[in-house]
Amino acid sequence: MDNAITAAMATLDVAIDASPEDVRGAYLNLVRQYPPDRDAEKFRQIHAAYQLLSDPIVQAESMLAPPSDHPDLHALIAAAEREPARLPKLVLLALGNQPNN
Amino acid sequence: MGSRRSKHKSNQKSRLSARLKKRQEAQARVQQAATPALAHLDLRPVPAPGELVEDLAVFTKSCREQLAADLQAEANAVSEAFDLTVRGEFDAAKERVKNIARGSIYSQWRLFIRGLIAFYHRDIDAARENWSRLDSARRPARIAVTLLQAETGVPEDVQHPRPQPLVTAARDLLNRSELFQEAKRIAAVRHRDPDITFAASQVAMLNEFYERYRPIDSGLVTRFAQACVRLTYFQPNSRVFDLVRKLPGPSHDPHWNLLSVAYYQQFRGSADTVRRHAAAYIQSDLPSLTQLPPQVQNALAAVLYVVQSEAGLFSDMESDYFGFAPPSASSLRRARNCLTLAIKRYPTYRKAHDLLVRFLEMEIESGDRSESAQAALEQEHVAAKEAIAAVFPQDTQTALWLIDHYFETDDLEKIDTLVRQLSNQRLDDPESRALPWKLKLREAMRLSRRKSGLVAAREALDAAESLWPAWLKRDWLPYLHAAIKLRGGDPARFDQLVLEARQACGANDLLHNVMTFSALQLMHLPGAQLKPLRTVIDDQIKQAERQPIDELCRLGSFFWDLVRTGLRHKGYRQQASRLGKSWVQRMERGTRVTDQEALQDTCLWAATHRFWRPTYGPRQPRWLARLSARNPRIALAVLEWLFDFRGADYWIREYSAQVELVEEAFKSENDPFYRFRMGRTLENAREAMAVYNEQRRRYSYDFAWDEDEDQDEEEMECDCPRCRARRARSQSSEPPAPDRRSSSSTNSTRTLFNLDDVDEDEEQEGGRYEEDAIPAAPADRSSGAEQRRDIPVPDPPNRRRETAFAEEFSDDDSMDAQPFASIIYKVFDQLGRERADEFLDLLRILGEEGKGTREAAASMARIERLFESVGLTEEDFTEFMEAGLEGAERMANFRDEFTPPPPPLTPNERRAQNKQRRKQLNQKNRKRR
Repeated sequence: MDNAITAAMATLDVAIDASPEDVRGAYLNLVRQYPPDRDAEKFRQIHAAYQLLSDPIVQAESMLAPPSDHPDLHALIAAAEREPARLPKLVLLALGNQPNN
Repeated sequence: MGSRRSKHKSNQKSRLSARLKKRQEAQARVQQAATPALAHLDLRPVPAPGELVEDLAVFTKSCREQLAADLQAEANAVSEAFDLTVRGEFDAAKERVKNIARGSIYSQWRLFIRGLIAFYHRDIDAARENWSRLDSARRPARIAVTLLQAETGVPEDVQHPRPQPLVTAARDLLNRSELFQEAKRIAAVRHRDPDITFAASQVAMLNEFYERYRPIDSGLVTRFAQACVRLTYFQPNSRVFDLVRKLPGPSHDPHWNLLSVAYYQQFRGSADTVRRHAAAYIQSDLPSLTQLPPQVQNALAAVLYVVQSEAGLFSDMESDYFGFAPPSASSLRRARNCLTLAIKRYPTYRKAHDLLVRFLEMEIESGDRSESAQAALEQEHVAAKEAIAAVFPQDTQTALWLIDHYFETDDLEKIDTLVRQLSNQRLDDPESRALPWKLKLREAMRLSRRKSGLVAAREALDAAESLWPAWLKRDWLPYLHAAIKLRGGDPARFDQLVLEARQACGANDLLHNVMTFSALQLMHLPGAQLKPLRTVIDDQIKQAERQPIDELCRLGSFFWDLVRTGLRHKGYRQQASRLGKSWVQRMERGTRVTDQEALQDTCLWAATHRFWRPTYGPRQPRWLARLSARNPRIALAVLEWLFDFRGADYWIREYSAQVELVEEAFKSENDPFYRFRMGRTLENAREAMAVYNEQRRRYSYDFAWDEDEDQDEEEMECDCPRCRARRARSQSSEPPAPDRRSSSSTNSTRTLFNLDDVDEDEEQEGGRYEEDAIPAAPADRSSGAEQRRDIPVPDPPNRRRETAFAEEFSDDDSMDAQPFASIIYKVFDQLGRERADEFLDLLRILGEEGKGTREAAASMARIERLFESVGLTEEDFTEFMEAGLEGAERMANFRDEFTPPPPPLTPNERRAQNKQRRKQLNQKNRKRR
């Protein structure tokens, strides 16, 4: 799940709960954008991702597949440091409290 | 009644007070937190005097309810947009407030959210531009000023300065510096053992990190924690894995049950755990995963049912020391039930169908049941095949099997349906392309049931003759013609024809009789007429020892033709079983065969029935290894035999010579039948090699032992009980060997016969071939059961066993074996298996770490406590430690032997055991001499 399926979902830009129609729609949109004669490698990626996401058994087996590589904790932290911080909702709203509160 | 109610109330009260206490403690923790960011988390929005109710409605439900419906909807939209920004779904947040009109009172909030998203993207100018249009008297403007001041450090609105505590809180929370610092501290822990990817000490840090920092940035903290859980997957220490997987998992696997299934599949002895996690996922997790499309849910359930079915069988196999015990009937039944459920959930799941057929075949072959039960099973087998043919019409092998079956049951309509189905397909397999021939031949056999159909039967046979496949020998054809003559009541013509046929093919008595018998039986001659010939054949096969080996091979070659065309007669099973046993025994003794073509056919035939028994995994016996290293078709036979085993992916590394030979022969093979089979086998080999390489890459710690090929070879050569025990230990720590069977395995019956009475010791007498032609093929001779019984089974009260164990290690100068053994028995006896495991783990740590480290000291302290708990004295402990830390490794070996006593031996097993003991004694005596 963490590798092949997530990568495929990212390629097609669909969520895990996307219906087969959504997946097909996303696939067709991307194929229109990247036809094989323009960008063969990208097309191959899109097609492979579609094949993976359109076969429920492959999808299920991928979910059961173990992680393929050791997760890199340092890389994860570095990526998170580049991401913006997002404040919890109530804390954010509390920043608008009046001084006398 | 009253007391029960009051008890219930008091329980409820105590539960509530406990919950309250827990919450207060959590709050207190936050308050007392050393980190400034955490201290700000108790901030709550407080209504200011005179603040607009519309602004309060963004965070106060009661205010929202006071608004008109359209304003309520806008307040809801703003509130939800905030939730979306917290989750990082910025586009969705913008989309949510898009419909708020410019003239609406909530347009200020819309502007604020747009600015907030720009701010989160570090685009301060864009944020400022959005926020510059905000009304400074309202809450959105106040939040914006605070954020900008926190970010830039410069007061944004001099007229209305923001309180410094709020600015500090915003800065602390935006920096997240403590969070990153703590995460880096966890990630930076170094491990001395390269096998360790995430240590137990990190688990404690991670739990604390998760609890403390989740309120600040739940997304990041959750991602980090999940990455840590996945790291533990790569190490063999299941305790750490079990500890860390208590943290919540991703949305599709909230309790890490899927990862646990994958994790425990790596280890022997974990089949029950695998089953438990698979069941938990199906029953608890799956129904709540409503975000998954139903098809994927069903597919997941089907895949897990298959995992459960396999795990159930492996659990049985693992109960045997070397993992080759056949599964029990009840396990097979349970496995079948799981597979039926899998097919029900996802009818086109091919693996479930294939396994169901395979398990049914295993059950049918075991044959230990009443006739009616056996018939019911066979019926179920046919139904399973029919289900495959219905769902996968392109599967020609199953269709061919069913056609043969329907000919036997005279179900012509179903044959027509299948033939029509096959005629619509492009057939690559020579076996499938020979279908018209087979249909004619089967038709001839069917028509010969009645004497009135004999003319038509003869015509059908003539038609079959004209379609006879080029890859099949024609020796048998005249016998079929002769059989029709005899069926028609013309014995003189029959005698003449069979005589001519025998002269044409040069068959000896045995082969001639078997060919005649099979033709007669398939042409439906009455049993009474066949009986004399059957008796003669039985006598001849009983004396197969006296037959020249070449003649046995020629008979094997004939049986190979029957097997590959699916034209086995009813007496085949019995005749083939006896021939197979006798032939294997002769080959083991090294009897030389001159007819190489007959030999390769016989090897191919014997491979389909597994006539040679595997030991220590699917390893070919020495005599076969010599042949398969030279002859590509025998190499093909061996590879097909290998791919019928569980875990062939793992063992393929030992068959690279055979793969290369077949690959080379494939290029020049002219026979279409073998060319097709070679292509298919090479494809399987490539897949297996890819799986093996992937496993090797992933589980490097389990492959450490095979890095040194010389050592491996040396181990294979030594056959003493200790070396065998060591090999067994290596075997028990092998990496997972995923089950991957080719679809071809489902259409043929592989294990028809039991070879329990084959004398494996005879193999020692073999070896007349040239040694330079021998590939480096390890050979292990004893069966798993025999191996286990060679090792002294621990029996604490028995002093003699202690002595025997001590003697085992008496050649080692580093330790005094007798007290060592005595103490171990005492500990094992009093602690029980589970705690003994813990004890040995501690010793292992001690052995690995050396005496000086903190871990070693902790282990030593715990061992000391364990000693106390079982009544051993300090002296015992000292003596034990002096006996040598090197003993830790040996004890780990010993733990493997610490298994319940084996079941009582059958007479055959007892004989084998006695023989083995005598052999060992002789070897020992020889060494002494």
